[in-house]
Amino acid sequence: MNTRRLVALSIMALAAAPLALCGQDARITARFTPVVAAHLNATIDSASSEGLPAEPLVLRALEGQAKGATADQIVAALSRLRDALRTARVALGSTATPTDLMTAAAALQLGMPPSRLTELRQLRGDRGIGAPLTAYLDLTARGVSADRTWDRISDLARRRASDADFGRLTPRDVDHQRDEDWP
Amino acid sequence: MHDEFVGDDPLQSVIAALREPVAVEPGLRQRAAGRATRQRRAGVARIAVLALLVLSAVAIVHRPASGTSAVTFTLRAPAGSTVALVGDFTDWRSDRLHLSPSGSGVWQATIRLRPGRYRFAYLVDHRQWRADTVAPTAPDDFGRPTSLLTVNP
Repeated sequence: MNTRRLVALSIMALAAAPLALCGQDARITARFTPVVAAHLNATIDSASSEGLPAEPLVLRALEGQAKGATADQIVAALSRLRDALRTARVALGSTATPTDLMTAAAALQLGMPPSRLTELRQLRGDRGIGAPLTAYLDLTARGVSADRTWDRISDLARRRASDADFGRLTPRDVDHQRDEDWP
Repeated sequence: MHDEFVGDDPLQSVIAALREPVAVEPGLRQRAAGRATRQRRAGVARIAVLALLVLSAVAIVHRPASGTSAVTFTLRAPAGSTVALVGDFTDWRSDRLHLSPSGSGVWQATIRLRPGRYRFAYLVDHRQWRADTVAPTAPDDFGRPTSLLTVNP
C-alpha cells in the first residue's frame, strides 16, 4: 500500500468516526465496558433504525447495570423488550407514538395478547390508547386478573369513556363489574 | 426686502434678522425626516426587544413548574442509614436523589416529574433494593424489586 493510499484511508476513517459515535448513547458508554457497550449500542441502534424508541432500551440497560445484573442478563432483557416493541408496532400500526409503543410493550410483557392491542386501538380511534393501557397495567400490577381487567377496559372503551374515566378505575371497580355481570 | 424695518432701532434689526427666511440646504429636509423615522423605528425595536426579554424571562421562570407534578416518595426503613431513590428519572443512578429521614424510621423525598410512566426502586444502605409498598410492582428482568409510577398529564 503506498503512502498516498494510506493517508486517504486514514482521512476516510477519521471522517467516519464521528458518524459511528453518533449511534452511541453516552450513558451506555459511560456505564459499561467497551465490549458490552458496543453490544448494547448495536441492539439499541438496530431498534432505532427500525423506528422503535431507543430510550426504554437505554433505561432498561441502565437499570440492569444498577442492579448488578450480568451482561448476558442485560442483553437478554434488551432483546425481549425490543421484540415487545416490534410486536406492539405491528399491533398498533406504524402511526403509533413512542409513548404508545412503550406502554403497549409493557402490556405485552405482562402477557397481553397482541390482538387485544389491535382491538383497543380500533375501539379508541383517535383518542389514543395511553390511558386505557396505563389503567390495565396498574390494575394487573396490583394483582387484578388480566382477563377481568381487559373486560372492564374494553367495555369502557366501547362506551367511549374519557381518559379520566380510565384513570379513576380501581381494583374494586373491576370486581364490582364482575358482580354486576354475574346475576 | 425688509422694507418695513428701516431705521437704526437695534430691536427692529434683530426682529428683521429673525424674520429673514433661512436658506435650507437642498435634501436637508428629507435627511431630517429620514433620521426621525429611523429613530422612531429604533425606539419601536428597542421596546420590542425589551418586551421579548421580559416575556422569555417569565417563560423561563414558569417552565420548570409547568407540566410537572410533585410526587412524594416514602419508605419505612428504621435500620437504614441512607436511602437512595433510583429509577428511570435518575437514569438508574443511585447518587442523584436521596430520601431524608422524617422521624420514626420513615424516609421521604418530593420531586417534580413530567407525565409518564416510570420504573423505580429504593436502595437502602447502597446494597438492599426495596420496592415501594403502595405503588404497583413491575415485572423485573434482573431479580430485584421494582415499582411502577404513573404521572398523569
